[in-house]
Amino acid sequence: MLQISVGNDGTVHLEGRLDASQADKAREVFQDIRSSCLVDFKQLDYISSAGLGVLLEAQQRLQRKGFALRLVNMQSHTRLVFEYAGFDAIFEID
Amino acid sequence: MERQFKRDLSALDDVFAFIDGFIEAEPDGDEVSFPLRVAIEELFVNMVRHNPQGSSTISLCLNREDQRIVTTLVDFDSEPFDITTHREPDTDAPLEERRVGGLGIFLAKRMMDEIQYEYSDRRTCIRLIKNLAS
Repeated sequence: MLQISVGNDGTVHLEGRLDASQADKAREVFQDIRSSCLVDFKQLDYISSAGLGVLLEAQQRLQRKGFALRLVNMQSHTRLVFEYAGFDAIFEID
Repeated sequence: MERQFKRDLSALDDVFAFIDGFIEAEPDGDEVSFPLRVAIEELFVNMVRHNPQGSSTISLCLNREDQRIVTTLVDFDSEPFDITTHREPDTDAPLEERRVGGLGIFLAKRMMDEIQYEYSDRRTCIRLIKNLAS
């Protein structure tokens, strides 16, 4: 299951598993993001292409307005998925 | 270990629990847990999304064969679609040209050492092979 929350500073916190059954839940939060923000992956154990799709949609929409997501505290397995997908070239990942 | 799962994304929790049960019983399971989960989810979801009118369940079987974990997914009532020849997405394209379509199959291929596709009598069988390091 996925837990997703937005902190007072606007950081999006992801926790658990972002799989295809949870993508709509994530999309509801990301589609409300209107400017650049951090996405904290510290508590996210798993992501698949469905999760990547949600992030891609948000990044493409934000970029058109000159904003971007910055992804932080990514676990090694998650980072590998981003690298395989070539998403490390279209997201700033710290 | 073999089990049938409902053809629905809501079955993913059960799919992951099934995988975790298999991994826990395998001495070398931890090293392949993440790639197995990604590859199985991607292909299960592909079957759910692209064959919504198929039979009510999809079969998932996990086995260890020597130094390999062999996963078999079977869709019993499907049209032919050879994922092994599926065109890969452009992972070097600029942001505005990126599409998610095809990324799931692509990730599954990257996560596994070999993927085999068989089709006959409306039955799709996909075998995923992951070698164990030791």
